[in-house]
Amino acid sequence: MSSFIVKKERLSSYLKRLADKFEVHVPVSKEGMSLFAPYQENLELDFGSHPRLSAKSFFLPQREVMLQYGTTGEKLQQEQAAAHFQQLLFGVKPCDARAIEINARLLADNCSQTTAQDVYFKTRLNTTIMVGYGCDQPGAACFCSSTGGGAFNTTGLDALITDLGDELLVRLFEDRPNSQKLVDRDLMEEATGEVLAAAAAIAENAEKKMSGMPELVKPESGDSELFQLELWEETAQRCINCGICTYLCPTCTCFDIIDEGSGECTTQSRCWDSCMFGLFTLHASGHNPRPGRKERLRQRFMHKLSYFPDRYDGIVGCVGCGRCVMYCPVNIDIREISRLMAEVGG
Amino acid sequence: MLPASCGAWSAIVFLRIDVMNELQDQLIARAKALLEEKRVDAILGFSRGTLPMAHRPFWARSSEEAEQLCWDEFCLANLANFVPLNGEKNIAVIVKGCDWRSLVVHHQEGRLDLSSQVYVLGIDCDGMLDPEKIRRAAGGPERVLEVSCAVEQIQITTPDGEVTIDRVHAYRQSCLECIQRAPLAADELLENPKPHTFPDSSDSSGMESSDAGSREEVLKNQFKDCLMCFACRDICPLCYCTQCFVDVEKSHWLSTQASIDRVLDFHFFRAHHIAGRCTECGACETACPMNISVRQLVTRLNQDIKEKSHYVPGLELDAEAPDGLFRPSYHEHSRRQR
Repeated sequence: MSSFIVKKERLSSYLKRLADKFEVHVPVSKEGMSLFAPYQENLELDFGSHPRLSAKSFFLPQREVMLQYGTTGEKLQQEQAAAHFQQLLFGVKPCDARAIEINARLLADNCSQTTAQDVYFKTRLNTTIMVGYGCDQPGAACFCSSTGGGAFNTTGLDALITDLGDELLVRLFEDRPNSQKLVDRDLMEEATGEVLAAAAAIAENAEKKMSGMPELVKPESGDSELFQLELWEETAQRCINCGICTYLCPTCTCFDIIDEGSGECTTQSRCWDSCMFGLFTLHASGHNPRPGRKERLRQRFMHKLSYFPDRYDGIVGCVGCGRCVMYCPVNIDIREISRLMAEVGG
Repeated sequence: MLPASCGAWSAIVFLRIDVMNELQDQLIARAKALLEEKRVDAILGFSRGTLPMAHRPFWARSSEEAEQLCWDEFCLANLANFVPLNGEKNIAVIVKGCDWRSLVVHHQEGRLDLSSQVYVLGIDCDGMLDPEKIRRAAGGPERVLEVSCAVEQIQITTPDGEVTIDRVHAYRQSCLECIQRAPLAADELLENPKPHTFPDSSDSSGMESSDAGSREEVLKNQFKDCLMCFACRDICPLCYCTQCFVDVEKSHWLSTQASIDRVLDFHFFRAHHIAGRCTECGACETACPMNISVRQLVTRLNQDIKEKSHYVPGLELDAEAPDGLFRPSYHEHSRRQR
């Protein structure tokens, strides 16, 4: 692993030079809401706030055009969607980066258990560089360390930054070939052992702030027992079945494929979908196996906390970013649901 | 060492908590009595959530459960949306003025019979605060660790100290435009013991008139962050169609493709469906995860209706609504598909 120092006053020059090579996206706060935006000079960067949307949309955009087709004369013409420019996300939260690695298990065959190959996701995965920004201040709804991650977790990242006040420590991960593309010897200096020790102390301190929270793990009870819990009926009384939790969730990856247009030009695109929506499971026959709020709500938590770990080495389908907890209009809290699920039979 | 002003400050906090507790205590006492006397089977109110400013709709079914009811300036949802129709009939609902107005609209439209089906436990509301304004003042949503509200000021605990903002700057926009703080008719009304700090109803934030060209620009910009999560619809007490036009898959009223045109289609449709019915409670804006002023469209339509028909929704049980308003299709016995 190689580590470099970038002085904060040189950060904009550094980013500018990266932006010559890549499509750079940085977190920017506007009216109290932080979102990733294409890098431009003189943007006010906000690495401290937690972005409202996760990094998911850079790998699985809300709408991705897959194909356009139509007839000209008697022939059917079709055109595949074009490849895109290499993207660089600068300042990703470690939880969001870890989520991409979890999504890759499902979509890009990074796990022996699946054979799925999502070419769109995989292309973006291979061409996106992610530079993380260690979280020294966990937020009110954060629980990354309860899900197997951590405030300075490096999973899914090509590099991780530690904020040292006047300068930034950039640790490059050599097992990630793209990380070398981040080296800029004109603007970076090699980090000394002293700096590394200071950064390690900051990381350790941040992890300490997160300690003591209950783990989010797969409940011991069997699925059929969990399925019958009264908890679902009770929680469904206030669940409004909106898509906030699934759309803000960095590990929710469900989508629908839609063809729309006319004979001359039809666009096939895939768009985010949500297990909270009634149409999600509606069969052509009219039957809906998840007809109501209870069934849909139960599916979301059973998937995250039971089906997912069953399939993927015990890892829960949650990285503890806290977005669903923070923005749920009726305060449905996955930490509480997990605790109640674990209590059955225990 | 404590700053010199600290003593005075804690007195303000103390006064506030005291006053707030008084209303909440009253509420709990009344709820317990109603349940003990078996006047109602359940009370729909709020209980404290797992984060500051995140109270949740809550059904108290016993005197013990009634202890968990809470009331303060973060009872943001409109409980008219949570009144069950197929199950219990004999319930009490804790309502602010705007929530009551939504129940009145339900009554007018035949969704429920307000005089016999629901026991109205009204609250003389002093306005709810906007979590997003408080998050902004704290420097980001994740930095709000605790919020305590004094009469004049709101104190926010952040990881690196206290931040204070004036209460008048923390009110939710819809509350600043409120025209009816307490229900006009209730089975009982709990008076707010605290002096009103609430400014007089301010100008409505309805969409401004503009020429078609710039209007398109303005609207696209306003709704550009919309994710189409439909939380605005789902939290809305007036969006109670058995099947929403969004979910009609056969004739495809609304494309599922996320693009700004579809986003605007959705918001225009919805605004027209709730025009002249919407009581501008602001639940949609509070629920929106992207902080979009989704209410502005219907606020403008309501202004036009008021101007032309002298009609304001949800103020009188037997008022006649102007012709042409949307009427939801609701079938009591079929399960809501959305």
